[in-house]
Amino acid sequence: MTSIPRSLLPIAATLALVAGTAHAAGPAQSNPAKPKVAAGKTIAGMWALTKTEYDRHEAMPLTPKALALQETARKAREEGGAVLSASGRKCLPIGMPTFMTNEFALEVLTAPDRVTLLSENSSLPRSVYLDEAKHPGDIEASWNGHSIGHWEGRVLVVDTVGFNDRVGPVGNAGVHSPTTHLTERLYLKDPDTLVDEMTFEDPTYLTRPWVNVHSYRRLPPHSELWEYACEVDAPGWSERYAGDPEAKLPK
Amino acid sequence: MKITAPALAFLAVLGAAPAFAHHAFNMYENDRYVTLTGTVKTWTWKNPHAMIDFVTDPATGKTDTWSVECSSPNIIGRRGWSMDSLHVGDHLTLTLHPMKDGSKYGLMVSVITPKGATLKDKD
Repeated sequence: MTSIPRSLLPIAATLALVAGTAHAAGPAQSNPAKPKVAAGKTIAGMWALTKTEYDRHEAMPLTPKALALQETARKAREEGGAVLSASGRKCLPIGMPTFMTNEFALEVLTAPDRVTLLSENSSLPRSVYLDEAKHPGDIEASWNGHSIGHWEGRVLVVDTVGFNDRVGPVGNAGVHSPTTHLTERLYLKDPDTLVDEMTFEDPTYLTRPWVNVHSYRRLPPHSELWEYACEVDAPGWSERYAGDPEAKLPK
Repeated sequence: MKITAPALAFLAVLGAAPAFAHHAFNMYENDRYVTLTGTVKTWTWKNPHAMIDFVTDPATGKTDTWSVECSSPNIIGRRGWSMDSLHVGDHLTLTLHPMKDGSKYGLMVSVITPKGATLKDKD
């Protein structure tokens, strides 16, 4: 290999950058460049939920308030014919924790100061800020909450608060309320398996912390992130919940 | 079938759900499997759910037309399905969960294509 004199290194680096830019802007390559970090050593990439893990749950330690809400929902469903949830009828964002626990593909992007998670089932990304030691004091309540994180070796630890009151608050995958505190540990169990250990704390709906673990399989190389839109007027959609007493069919 | 009672509770309360995004599925008999043979009348590869209209073989001199709801293309597209998986006129064997009300509407479980490949939507 030809060595480059030390004095020319900055020029060489610039040329490499220019070359890289030209490559990126050029036509699609049949043999895409090898990623700098080998797949299998990073949580970055495209993932899909592994259903066998999803279905493994311990009973949630619910407070009387949460149990009463569950009973109301059960009655609406079994006795009132409710098919769609209120958020489903309105095409509202899925929010957390469903963001992480649905079967649509998930993309994880890592940068030095943040990790971004994209779900094909959500128009709202999740941003995990790695450069904030604590949550700001004026968080606006939101669907995905406010997340800060740090790396413990190869484990990404994510701390999330600031959920709104528009989802849940109690579901099979966890809780989502203004009093919810969610801690996640994201790591690779093996090169092609991502794990998300979620610990929920919520004095309103849980009597003690509750842990829920999901795993995801790595999608094949070069898998793309597909669009998905919630469309209440899509063909075949309205018929499905026509029997729901609360359904207002779009005109 | 892996979908459990807690999963049903989740659907109604938290809303969007795995495989059945946007709506619950308590209108289906999720523990009943019906297998039919027949011919594809329409095949729609479109969100929020792929759909098949399907005319059954005339078992007793009469045919039925079923509408079968599949998961979103985003979901089954990761399980080996594509827009070209099925075509109008294909003769298929498919397995579905029927509606509780007896209408000819079902939830896709799996299909065997004319080439003999099995495409799964749900376990």
